[in-house]
This record gives sequence, C-alpha cells and structure tokens, in this order.
Amino acid sequence: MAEPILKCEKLTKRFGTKTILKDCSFEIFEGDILAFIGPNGAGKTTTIKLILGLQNITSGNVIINGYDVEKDFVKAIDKVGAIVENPDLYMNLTGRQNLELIANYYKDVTKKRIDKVVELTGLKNRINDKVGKYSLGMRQRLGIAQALLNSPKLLILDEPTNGLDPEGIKELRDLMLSLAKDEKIAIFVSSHNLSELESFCNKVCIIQNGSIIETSEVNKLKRKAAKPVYSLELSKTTGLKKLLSKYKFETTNDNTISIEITKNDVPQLLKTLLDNKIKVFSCVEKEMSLEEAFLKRTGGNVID
Amino acid sequence: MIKLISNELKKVFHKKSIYITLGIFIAILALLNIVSSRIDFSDIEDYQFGEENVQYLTSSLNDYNLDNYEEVDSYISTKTEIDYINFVNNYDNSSWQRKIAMEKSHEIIYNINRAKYNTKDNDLLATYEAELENLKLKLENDDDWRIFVSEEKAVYESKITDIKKELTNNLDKSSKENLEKELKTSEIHLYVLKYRLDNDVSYDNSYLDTALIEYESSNIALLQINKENMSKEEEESYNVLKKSITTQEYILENKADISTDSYNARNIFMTFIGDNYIFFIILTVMIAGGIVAEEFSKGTIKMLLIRPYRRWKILLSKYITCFLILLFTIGVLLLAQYIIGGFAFGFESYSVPAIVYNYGSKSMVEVSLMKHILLNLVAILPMLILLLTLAFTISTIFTSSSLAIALTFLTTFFSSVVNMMIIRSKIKILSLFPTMVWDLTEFLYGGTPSYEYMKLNNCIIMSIVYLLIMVFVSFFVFKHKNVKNI
Repeated sequence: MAEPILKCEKLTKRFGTKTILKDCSFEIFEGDILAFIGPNGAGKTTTIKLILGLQNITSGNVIINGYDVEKDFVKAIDKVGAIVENPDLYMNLTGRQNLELIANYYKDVTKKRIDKVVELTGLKNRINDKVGKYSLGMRQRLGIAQALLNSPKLLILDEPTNGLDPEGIKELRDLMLSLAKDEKIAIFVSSHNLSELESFCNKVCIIQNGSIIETSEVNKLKRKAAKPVYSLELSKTTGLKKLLSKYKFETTNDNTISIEITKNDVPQLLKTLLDNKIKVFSCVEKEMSLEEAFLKRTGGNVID
Repeated sequence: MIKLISNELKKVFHKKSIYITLGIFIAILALLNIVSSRIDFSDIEDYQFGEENVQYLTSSLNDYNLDNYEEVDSYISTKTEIDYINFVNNYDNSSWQRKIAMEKSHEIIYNINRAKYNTKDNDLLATYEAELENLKLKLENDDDWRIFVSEEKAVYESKITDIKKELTNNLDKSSKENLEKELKTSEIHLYVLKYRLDNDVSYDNSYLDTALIEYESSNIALLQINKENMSKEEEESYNVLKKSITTQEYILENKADISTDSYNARNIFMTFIGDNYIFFIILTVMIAGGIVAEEFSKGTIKMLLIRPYRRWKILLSKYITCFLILLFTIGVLLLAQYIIGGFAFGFESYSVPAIVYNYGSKSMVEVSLMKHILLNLVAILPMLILLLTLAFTISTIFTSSSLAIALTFLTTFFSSVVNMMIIRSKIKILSLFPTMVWDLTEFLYGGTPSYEYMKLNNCIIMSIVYLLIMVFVSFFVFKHKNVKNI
C-alpha cells in the first residue's frame, strides 16, 4: 500500500488546563478527498493549524510526504497548499501582486503557473484589481488560487465554500474532483456544509469535542448509520401505528412515511398496506444524507 | 533570504503611510531652509535697539530693590543694557562708529554701573567714565575706523614698550607675573588691531571680524587660568578655549569661512544629522513597529508561516528590511536637504570642506563634508539601531504596532531626562544604562565626553549587549508563537 500523504498520529493540543485535541489520528492517501467535519468548537481549525505548523503540538506527530512537521518543517511544508480560516491577503495590493509575492517563496513557480492558476479559479478579469475591492467570493477564489500555486501534493482547505455562490461551489467541486483524479492530489476539506461535501468527498473524518469519533469512507458511513430507509407516499397516514407496529417508522408529512425496513421485507409491507385499503403512490429507498448520518453518529452536539 | 527580503520590501513600499510621512518631512525641511535663508539679522538688531525695548527695560528697572543685595546685580545688568542701547543709538545705523560702539562700549558701561551701584568706588567710577568719554571723542573725531584702529595700535605699542622696559628691572615674583600677564594681554590686542589694518577687516560682523573678536576674548580668558593648578571646571574651560583659539587661528591664517554659525547650505548640511535625526527615528520606528504586528492583525501571517522557511529566517528578513528602510530614510532626507539647501542658499558653500578641531592632535583638521556627515551618522547609529530593534521586539512580543511605536517614542523623548538624572546621581554603574551608551557624538575626533564615567569601549560593548538581548528575545518568542484566531 502506498505511503499516506498526510498522517496524524495521536495529535494532542493543550492550552493551559484546557485540552482542545486529544489523540487524534487519521491518514490521507493521494487522490483522497477527506471531509473533516464536526460541530462548532470541535477542534477542526486547531487540527489544521497543528498540521501546518501554525501552533505548537503538545504531543503526537504530523507527517507530510514522509517528513515530520516539527523536525523537518521546510521539506514537509514544501508541497502543501492551504487556506486557514479566511484567506487573508494584502488588501492594498492587487490579486496578481499577492500571487507574485507568494510565488516568490517557492523555487519553481513561474509566471505561466500564476496565469494557469488564475484561470483555474476564474479570476482572469479581476486579477489586476486591488484585493480590497474584491467581493467575498473573489477573495475566496484568490485564496484557493494561492493554495494551488506551488502545485501541492496536499491541499488543506478550511471551509473553502464560505462566501461562494452555488455556481462557485460547483466550480470548486469540479476543480477538487479533477485535481484529485488527474493530479492525484490529496485534499483535506473542513466544513459545516455537509450537503456540499457530500458531492465530492470520498472519505469522512468526524471530530467532536477534540476527539475523532469516526473515520471511514462516505458510503460506509451512510450504510453503517442504520438499516436502510424507505420513503413511501400513501393515500393516508393516519392509523398506521397499529398496522406497522413491528417496524420503526415516522410520518414526515400528511402523506409520506419513512420506514426502516430491509429490502426483503418490502413486498410484505406493500401487501400489508394494500390489504388495508391504503394506496401506495411511490416506494423509494432513501439515500441517507451525510447530514443525517453525521447527526446520528454525533448524537447531537454539546460544546464543552 | 534575498527573496524573503525583496518580498518584505515590496510590501513596505506599497504602504501609503511611508510616502505621506516622507513628504511631510521634506516639506518641513523646505520650510526650514526657506525661512532660514530669509532671516534678516538686522530685524533682530532693530528690535534690540528699538524704542519698545528701551521702554520695557526702563519700566522693569522699577522692580528692583537696590537695598537688596541679590537684586543689585540684576539691576546693574538691566541698567547697563539701557545705557548701552542709548549710547549706540547716538550713531547712525550703517556707520563704522556704531559698530565700534556696539563692540567696545558694553564692557565699559557695565564697569561704570558696577562701580556706581555695587562696589560704590568713586575712583574706579571716574576711571571708567573717562574711558567712555575717550571712546566718544575718538568716534567723533576720527574719519574712518582705520584711524581709530591706528590710534589704538599706537597706544598698545607704547604700552608694550613700557612694560618690557620695566621687566628688565629687578622685581619680585608676583609683580613680575602680573606684568607678564599685562604684556601678553596687550600683545593680543595689538595682534588683532594689526590684523584689521593689514587685511582691511572692519567691524562689520563678517566671518573675519567675528573670528578676531572670538580670538581676542578667548586668549584673554585663557590668560586668567592658572595652568599649574587647575580645577575640574577650569580644565574643561581650558580645553574649550584652546579649541576656540585653534579654530580662530585657522580662520585668520587661511581666511577660510569654516564657522558653522551662519546660515548657508554647507552649515545646515553639516549639522543636519544632529538636528534632524528625529525624522529617521520616526519613519524607521513606524515600519519596524508594524512589520511583524500588522501581519498578525491583518491575518496575513498565516500565509507567511506556511511557506517552506524556518521561522527565524522569516523574522530575520523582516529585521533586515527595517535596516534597509533606515538607510533609505537617511539617504532620501540627506539628498533632499542637499538639494533644497543648494536651491535656497546656493551650492557654492558645499565646496568648503569641514574643518574640525581634533582633540587628539589639538589642531584643526580638514575633513571632507561627506566624511564629517558620515562620522556624525555613525556616532548616532547605536541609538538608531537600538530604537529600531526596540520597536521590532515589542512588536513581535505583543503583536501590537501601536504599543511598539508608542513605547519606542516614549523612550526616545525621555532619554534626555533619564540621562540627566543618571548624571546627577553619579552612580557609576548607571553610566552603562542604554540611553547613556547609545550616543557616541561626544567621542568624535578624539573628544572626551562631559560625564566622567563614559568610555567609548563600554558604550560600544553595552550597545551590542542590549541589541543581542532584544534580538534573542524576539526570535525566541516568534519561534514559539501560536497563531490564534484572527
């Protein structure tokens, strides 16, 4: 098996008496798009800051491309691109000047690369304007542009969809997917917006109260959460409790129920309903959303 | 590292504040130069000898109580001033008589008033009053200042002959000493008078006239000091007088206007560093105090610290940039002064080199203007560097540019007060205090500082020590800083 691009081993962060992260471990391989999700205050941004060397690690290791971030910082961080919190850039300089400043930090970022990155993020028309004049969405794009400048192997994005309109989100999603697939980049995305993440992430890592409670592939997570759920549109939903007493179900509105039932039991269910003169208009397996899976796993949110 | 520094410079030179501040400084310089070039000293003179001043002084006479011992001296000063003004006003404004009256009558009138109101010695009073009458007569009768000078010359020549004759007699030690003193005094007066005649130097406030007057008074004052048994203060006066005499001799022998008293482009340029170093401090501290702190407050520090460089390199690049800005500021302002001064006063004076007194060789040495200015610059370099580093360090530790700038300015402005207190306390170890060691100007050209405990080696070593302490602290803090929420 290939070496992981990013490996966090028992990451712990303490600030005085407060423990913000406790023994967090996970791995990302090339081509993965990992969704790092968790409620507010779980420690997502702190984890990112530890990975990038912006804060001191209390205990544990971060290994990027085989290099330890504490012992070999320069080599570890060389092929990493990132946005942390807001992509803060120099407001009194133009977008291009900001990118040129950043390009100057690397050995092999040419003007051609800057132009390519500008095009990739759709900023060609405004790249020569001062960043102070950009809208939030444009600043976000510029942030993504600077993260891509050094052709990174690992991309770390802290809430990258912040401020993007639906079209922007779609463009970002397509960009991420092509980067992961074509250039085999490992991408680490943190966000609250689970429905967005759902559309392009292949792995999920759930963090709560400073500890990682789940790391798995997205599909498995959804399946693991519970028995499959079917959604049925019926002619009436009253008086079903007695009838469907052996199943777990809930009425989502006047005519629809969601019922936990295995595939094999579906015909029996339909027969029961039809025998009792209840008309069935549709019966569909409901894909559990990531949000639902997440909420089921975290069981609500308590911030210490 | 070069790349890091070039990035930092780009960021600094895109800040509007640096240009606004520089622009204001240059505007102030232009104003100062233009005003100085227009100063008419006769305006000041007009006021001194004017009706208003006389009335003011006369009315203030009533405030003094002649019976009170302490107030008598003040009364005498004021009365002398009034009598002097009235005496000088007898003569026309541009006449040579007025100028001689201005130079010679003040001392006589002072002696008159002193004899009248203080010592109350009638004989002495009569002598001085006669002297004044004598002066008046000469000014009336002589057609030209040259005649006046020739007459004085003759008087001294005969006096000298008489004294020399008397010295051949057998005299006791103290009489002999007094006579020799009188001889020397007369010789000095004679030399000055001869110089005036031979070189046609009238009493016109020209640089030669000023040099002659200085030469005369310094030599006479020097005679009063007993070389064998000098107190600390007398030794200091001795050195100051020696410097003055050597300087005037140089001027008189070479007929070169090397004084820095008058306003011209060269003189303003020569004293530029000492007068205007505050500009360098303001601009440099503005940058040094913000170069780290602003990255934190703007959030751009995150973009900086995730690049493939160790943290100390990033901080060092910022520190070096501050030095470059210091050099830039000095260069720009010196150039601005050179050009503005040249346009305001004319560029000719720049060709006269700086002639300074070397305390080591006890002689005048010629130093090119640029070298003199460079030396003055190097003398205050420890101060500039320490202040720059102070702002930088506070900025790094507290990530607040306003705190860094405020505290550094506080240090700058209170340094002279602190130094005064340290000197008064006479505690030897305090002579190593940062604000005491950072100004090396008093050591230039072999000079010795006025405070006895100051030594050049100590100053340099302690400056380096303070610098290293601040540098280590700032690098240590920066290395371990957690980038918190912005």
